[in-house]
Amino acid sequence: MEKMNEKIQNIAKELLENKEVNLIIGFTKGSNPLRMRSVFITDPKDVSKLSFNSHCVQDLAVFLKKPEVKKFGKIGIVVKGCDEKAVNTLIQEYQLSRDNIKIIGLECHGVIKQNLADKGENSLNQSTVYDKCLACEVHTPTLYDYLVESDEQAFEINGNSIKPYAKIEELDLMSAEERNVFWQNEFEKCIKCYACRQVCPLCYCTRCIVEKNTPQWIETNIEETGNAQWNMIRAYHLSGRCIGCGECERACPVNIPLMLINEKMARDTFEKFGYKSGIDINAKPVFGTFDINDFNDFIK
Amino acid sequence: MEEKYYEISSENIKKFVNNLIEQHNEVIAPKDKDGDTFYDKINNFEDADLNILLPKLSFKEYLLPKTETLFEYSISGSNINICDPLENIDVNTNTNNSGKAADCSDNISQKRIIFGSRPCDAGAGPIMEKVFNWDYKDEFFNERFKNLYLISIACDKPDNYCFCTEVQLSPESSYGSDILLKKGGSGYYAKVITEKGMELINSNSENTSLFKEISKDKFPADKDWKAAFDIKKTQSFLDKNFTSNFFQEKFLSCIGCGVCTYTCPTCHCFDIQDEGTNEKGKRIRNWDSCQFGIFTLHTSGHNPRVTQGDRYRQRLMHKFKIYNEKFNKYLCVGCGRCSRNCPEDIDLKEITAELSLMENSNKQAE
Repeated sequence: MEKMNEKIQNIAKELLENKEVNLIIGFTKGSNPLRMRSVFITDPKDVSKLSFNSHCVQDLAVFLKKPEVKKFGKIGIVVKGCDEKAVNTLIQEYQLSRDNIKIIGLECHGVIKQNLADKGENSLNQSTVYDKCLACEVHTPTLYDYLVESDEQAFEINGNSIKPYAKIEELDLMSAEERNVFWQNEFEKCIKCYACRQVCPLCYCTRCIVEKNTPQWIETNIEETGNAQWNMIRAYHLSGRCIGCGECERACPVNIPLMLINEKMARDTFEKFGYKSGIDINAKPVFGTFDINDFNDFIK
Repeated sequence: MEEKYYEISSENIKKFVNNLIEQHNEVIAPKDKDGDTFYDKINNFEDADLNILLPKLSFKEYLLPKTETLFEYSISGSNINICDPLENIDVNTNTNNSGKAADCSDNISQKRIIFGSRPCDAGAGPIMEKVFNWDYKDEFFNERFKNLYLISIACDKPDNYCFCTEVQLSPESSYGSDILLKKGGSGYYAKVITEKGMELINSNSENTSLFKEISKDKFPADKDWKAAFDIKKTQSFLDKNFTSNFFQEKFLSCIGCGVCTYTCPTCHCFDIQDEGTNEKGKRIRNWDSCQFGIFTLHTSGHNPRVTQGDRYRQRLMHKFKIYNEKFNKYLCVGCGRCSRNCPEDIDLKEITAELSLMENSNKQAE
């Protein structure tokens, strides 16, 4: 990764020195050797802090929605393919101007699950990466100003036995009642810390629906009804938008498999509308457009 | 009471815990759930996972539930039914003289025994108790606290995120526990600190016979735990540097979720809400977090804590300065959960240590 780090550092240095950006958001070493964290660099002298490896789990695009970060104006950001899809969607949804962002895209073969890394896992293979990495179609980002190729070989995926998010098919086969029981058990664990929302680069509402109380759309209790309402409303608000970075599931302190919902919604959106999010900044958001020739009657 | 010391074999501790369960107590212990450990009800000693350092969440919800129902009502015709969880409890003496619980969905007088808690978690109880009693006596907290029994197990080896010693506890502290177990001998050595602890041991004659009393000097002495930094210096920095840029720069990486506060054993903020319809409803209090932007948002639209830096500073100030000025203790037990669980890898031990080294700074840091 040495070469890769050097390239990232050189690009960042150049961007800062030429005043093309006022801030670089990248990865740096974290609280232990198998953890990485974000770093915010304004001084070209500090670029040596930048590095990348398979523990860079965070989606740094989340910071682009933060008012404190927006203040910097022109920003350079280090992204993996999945993170780049979030930047892409922010531009598509007019949350970010393409002119104000320099994208340093990284080729990425996958990132190691943080809960495994916390137990000492340091090897990148099909059993240690997130499901999103197994399903990944953007090991090389599609939208970027600079591309940094990986120094390392991609690991091989053995056979066709690997099915990312296999649980979705299992849930699809269940009756509605069984599925309801499954999700009730999962949502029961929710503590409403809103880490899923805060860590999501696309949950950028300045006032979330759960914070609106005239009327109170979503019950405030952290029990069966309030938890189900919160998790369902979030799923709907991200349908056709979620780019599958999986940050909500990673951040969840009680291990709710949130990506099963988001991935299911993404699959349905593709199946029914032929639409995938985060691919094209000029595409119209699938639930934000109206087509007079829509095949559904109810919409006319 | 005067502390008492015992020895108990591994086999007998198992019998003891199973007896407590058989006596219809709700026994809670660290329990494996999909590869992570959480405090949860156990039906057998074997359900407990005692090999891990700390469960992912603290057991705070048994003292301050995620949602606490303060009262419920239902109206049908001219009948109004009100359920008051405190109905049978004398709020002045905090005792229940009727011997029965109010007819509510949650019984706040439920006796609960936590087995295998750690000294840090145990320390959180009395630390929170001070807040819930310094002015208004919070009957809900007090009733739950009174009925919570703690059998803690001392730690052998804290991990890199632990800093109990720095916040004036230790991996072997008995502060807040009713019984503290230390590994050794034929299984464990037990120190009984409170009457509640004795009550568990003497809950029947078999349980009493499982514990062999020993003299104090036979109980293993605490190791000489050394603090890696001086938390008083951290406090001293906080005293002088409210407007420091340190907070704004450091917490650019904070995304403003509630993970640190909700997994914290001592964070105790709540928000009171009314929920329901004309016919049926309840007044509840829910966990709340100073890390949320709307936490301090005024109706006028003004927000005194505008940035995430302001909000995380508040968390530091409350834990290491404000609480200390009032109660001469820290509002932190050093369990390190906020650091381990933080999605953005913000490490509280690292930050408090860093601040302790900047003690003499009184302007912009870094």
